[in-house]
Amino acid sequence: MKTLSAIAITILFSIGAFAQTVPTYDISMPLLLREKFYTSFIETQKNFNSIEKNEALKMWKELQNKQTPKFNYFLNKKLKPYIKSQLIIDWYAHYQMTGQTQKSAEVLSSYFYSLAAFLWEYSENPRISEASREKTAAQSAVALAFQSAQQAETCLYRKTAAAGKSFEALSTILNECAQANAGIIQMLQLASQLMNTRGYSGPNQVLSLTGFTPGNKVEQITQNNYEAEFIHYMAPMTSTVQKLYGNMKVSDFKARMVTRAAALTSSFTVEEGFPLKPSDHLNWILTKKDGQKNIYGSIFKSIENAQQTVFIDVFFLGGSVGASLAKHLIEQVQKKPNLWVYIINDRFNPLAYELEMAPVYNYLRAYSEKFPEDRLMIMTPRIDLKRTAFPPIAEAIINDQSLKYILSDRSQEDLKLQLGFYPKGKSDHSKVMVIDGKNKIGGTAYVGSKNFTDSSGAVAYDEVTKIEGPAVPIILDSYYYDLLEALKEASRLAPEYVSDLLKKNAKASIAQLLAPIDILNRYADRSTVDFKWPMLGHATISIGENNVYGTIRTALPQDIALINTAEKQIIISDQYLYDPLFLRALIEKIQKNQNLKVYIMLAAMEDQLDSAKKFAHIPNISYIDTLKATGQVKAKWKKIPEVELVALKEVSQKYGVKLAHDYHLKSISVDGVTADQAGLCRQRFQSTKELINTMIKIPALVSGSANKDVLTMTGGFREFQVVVYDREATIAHDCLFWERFNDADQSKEIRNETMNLPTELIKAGIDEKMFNQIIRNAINISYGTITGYFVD
Amino acid sequence: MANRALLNINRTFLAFLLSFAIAPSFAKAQADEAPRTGADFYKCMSMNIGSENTNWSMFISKSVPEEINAQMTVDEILESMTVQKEIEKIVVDVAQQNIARFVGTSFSSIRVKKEYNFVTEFTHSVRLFTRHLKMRLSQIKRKNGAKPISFQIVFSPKVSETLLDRRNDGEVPRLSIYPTDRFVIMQQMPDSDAVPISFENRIQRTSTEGINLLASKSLACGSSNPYLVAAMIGLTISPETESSSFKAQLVVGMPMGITMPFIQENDQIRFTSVVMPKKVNDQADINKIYDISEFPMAFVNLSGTLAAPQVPLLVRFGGIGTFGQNGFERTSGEILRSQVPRLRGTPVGKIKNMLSVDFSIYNIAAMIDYAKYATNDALEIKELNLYISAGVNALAEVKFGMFNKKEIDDQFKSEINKTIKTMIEQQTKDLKEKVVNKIAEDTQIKNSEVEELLKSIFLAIKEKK
Repeated sequence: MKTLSAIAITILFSIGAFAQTVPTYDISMPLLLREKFYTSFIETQKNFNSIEKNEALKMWKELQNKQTPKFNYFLNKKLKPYIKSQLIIDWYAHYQMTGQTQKSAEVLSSYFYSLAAFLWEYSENPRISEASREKTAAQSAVALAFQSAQQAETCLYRKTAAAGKSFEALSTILNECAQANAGIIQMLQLASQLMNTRGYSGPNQVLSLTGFTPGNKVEQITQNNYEAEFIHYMAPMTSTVQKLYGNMKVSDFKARMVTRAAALTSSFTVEEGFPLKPSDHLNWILTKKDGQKNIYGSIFKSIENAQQTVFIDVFFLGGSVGASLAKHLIEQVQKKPNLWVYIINDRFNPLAYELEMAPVYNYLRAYSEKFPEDRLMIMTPRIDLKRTAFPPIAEAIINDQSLKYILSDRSQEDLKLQLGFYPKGKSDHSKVMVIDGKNKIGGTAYVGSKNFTDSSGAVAYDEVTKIEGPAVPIILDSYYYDLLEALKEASRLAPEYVSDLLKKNAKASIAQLLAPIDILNRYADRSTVDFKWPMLGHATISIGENNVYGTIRTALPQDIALINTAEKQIIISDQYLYDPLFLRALIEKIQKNQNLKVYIMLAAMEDQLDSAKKFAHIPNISYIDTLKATGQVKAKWKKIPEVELVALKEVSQKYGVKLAHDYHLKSISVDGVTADQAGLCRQRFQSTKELINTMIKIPALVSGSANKDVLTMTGGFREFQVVVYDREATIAHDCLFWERFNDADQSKEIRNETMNLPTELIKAGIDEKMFNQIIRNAINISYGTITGYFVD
Repeated sequence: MANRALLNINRTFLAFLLSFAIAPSFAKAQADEAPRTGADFYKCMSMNIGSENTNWSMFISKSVPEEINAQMTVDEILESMTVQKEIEKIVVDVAQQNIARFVGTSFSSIRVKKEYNFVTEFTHSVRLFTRHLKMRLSQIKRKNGAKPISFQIVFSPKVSETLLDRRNDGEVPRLSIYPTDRFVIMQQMPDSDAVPISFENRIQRTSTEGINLLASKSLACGSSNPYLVAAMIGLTISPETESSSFKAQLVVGMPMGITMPFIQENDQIRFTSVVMPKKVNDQADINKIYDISEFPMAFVNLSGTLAAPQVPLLVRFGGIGTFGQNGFERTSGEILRSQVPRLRGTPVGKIKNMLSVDFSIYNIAAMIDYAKYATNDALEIKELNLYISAGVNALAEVKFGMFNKKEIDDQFKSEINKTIKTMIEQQTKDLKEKVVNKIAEDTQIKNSEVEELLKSIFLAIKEKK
């Protein structure tokens, strides 16, 4: 197998070499680098992430300090020249001095690889000018950096084992493996120099171990079925799913699936009001009346075209939309003998949608259990492997082990369902679908904010990025360990399910079951993989994710780094916006760049359907006054247009279903279509070219599942997003944003005085400003985060 | 002289005492009485719930088992915390028994009943949970090696790390806008040889600047309200359940230079104002950042055990010293008069316009006894430490005849206690009158008849018991 350093050199020249024939991009570097962090370094990465273990580490350090006076001083003095991270120094000292030499080598190696990855990332960032001296320096240093990291790794495993547990051993090891390695010293110096460059406000960590992937064809799909027509069409089916199927178990569905054909006809029937064929469900229309492509329709079509695999990880899957998608999937596996379908669906966080989610999960699981040879599997992901999304105090109150003890008890099944969410704030919040991800031609990924239930998803406002090209296998491989862990857990909880899947498909192991989506061929011989992937377009993609173990948590730093590159304008279009670090970075950015304009549209604070829920998205107000005080920010609530509101109220009264018309986007656009250019958007198709011509620097668009709130960003939620560096995708997003932002029927300005606080609060002397501050402080104090300093 | 004067001042003392104990709400009341306008008002109000410019942080510590040592791995350290694990296991066990019931009755009822009193249901469940927990915890005492486990939770203001970065102009500036709890490859690291990592030192290090900043901002906005500076809550959960104890401390920033007019006067001293600490040249130094040791604070301490009905309350005045085992501490050594509040008055008689008398207050210790509430003795001042001085009015800061005598303190104490009792009795009387008046008004029965009726009802209830 090629070494990472050799790959790094290859990448630098590969794009050009193939440019005249079939342009390809070598995806070995991103995949193998990330894989190292999932394999060789995983144990130490998990420890970095554990609140409890880091507390124990502090305790250990305190004991060392008592035993050896000036321990900290010497520790930092001796190691700081080679390691610029306190976390790494502390864990390295701990591992080596307690005789865990393998891990001490791992922790240092992971550090040097991360430094090399940082330089690689810097050298390819499309928002940094090609002509800049720093970028050129980084570009010329990448290959040597990876080579040096690799040399250091070999040295470290040898030296740590031989050096013993003494305090002196710590510096001896580094002297021999880092001091003697000129590449390491050069890499450290360059990284330090880049971060100290005047004006640098980039990250202090690697944002994406997979770097920037060029050569993708992307399409920003913005159209949803939120109109009255869809609301009226779907609501009776939603009600039927809840009433007839809400309490049906896997065994109930299985009993109806006497044959394969019966599986498609015995549930969600025409007599009950469901469409005859899945494709008849109105929500799956490919194009809307105005000719624009519809999110659901596009996904449906891609699944119809699938040849090898379909991978789905979506937070909410249920209702009539979920049921018809489930039937569509079953139809596909019945028609195509080589098609494999992998679904993971978080069953611990149904929130208010259990009666819609349970039927679809149970229906698909029933089919999977009944016909395992049809290669469709559905499991719940291991959300418990991550750290909590709650403040660290949650760890002090009840640790994961104790919680697991409660939840593992089968007598608590009702508790889990009734609670509606995982008690320590962990979830799989992804909304990702990958079709034929291992195929070089036809591979397609959908990354966005779209859910697949009637009540939350079908009539919501979302956007999804359709991607074809080298980023697709990189996106798919991000979920390999999610699937692996889910299957391992399934084989523990329901061994007969996994053993049937293995037996009926003639597979010897879980790894073999995953072979169709395993880009790296982990199940067999990795050296057979051809990493050269056709470049199908011009868009560059960078991945931000909070992964299955919580060891990679890059969505937040990626967002911050991106807004720091803004020159003219930032658009934030989101369901939630209250992450203190993100907001502080935004305020800092605004203060530094007086010409920067920021436009924000958020899910409305009040629930327009339910007057009792005046504070449905209450945390969104916590920083708005601070932002508006800068004078460079305009913020609006998304409104439900009157005609749709009437329809929602009607179906609520008639069928008792509440379809959430949420503004559910999770996007950031940087230096896209400016407010002044919004007029050009009116003739969207004709004017795209004109808009493109005005964008000299490539704009960027974040698309994915991560809200800009503190719960999401701590890493308790499995999230996935991409930054798309593409003019057309950004224009598609921005033009629709302006359409809504400039329409009084679709949005309204956020004003403190219109907050309508409850009279109890007003009587208690709490005004709107104070209320904002109370909410803000509640977030800041509990999470120990800091904000607000820059506001006077 | 002092003896008589006391009768007129004790109401003020009580106001003092209560204001420090319930500083945030007192501050609100003060602001209501004298509302400021616009930004000033908002800024000063916000001081009490967290300043715009001051960040807050929360620290939590747990007690460490004695058997852990530096040779252990982190996994072994975690494993060795057996007492904690034992307690956690019991909590989990009890939770398991109760939480399903709670969820069943409360969350499911939302769907069924559409109406749901969360507070009632939740309180009920918590009570149930606590009762079971107490019962199970009491079982631990029979096991060997069970030791108490302590938690300490501290809230304190903290200066933005970004600000510190900027000020220090360190090696890698502006990094703190990125999450610091993740795997960073470059970060600022301390160069000092005294890297503080103990719990106390961490708080000391991070909060010192914050407390200073908060204090200076309070001066800048001319706050006349006490405001919360920091708080500490200590809990010790003992295997002997009844011995489990708590300790709480509020550090309250003192308002500057407020005055209160007094109506009553006596034949020896007429008290004219309550003088909060104010530096001579405050006007000139309006933006001066006070050093913590200079800045006056009230330390309101509460402590008790689960078993005891009495909760001692101690209010001390002075500057903040350090954060130690027992929480925030007052500056050691001699307390400066400028750091404590004082009552100011002038003697009555021939020299009335020439002399002023100050009673500087150092400590007030009180006992809140819930068991005695019925007899109006719930709050009793146990200790008082005054410092009395007199000065010539023409030279306000030149004092003579300063003394600090236990007898005087005792006299004050005794009078204050009488007043507290009187005030509570008065409040009870007021309440009773209100009730009687209300019933009389509603029923058109004479007040005296209502009183007779109530008496007979209470008597009947008492006899029944």
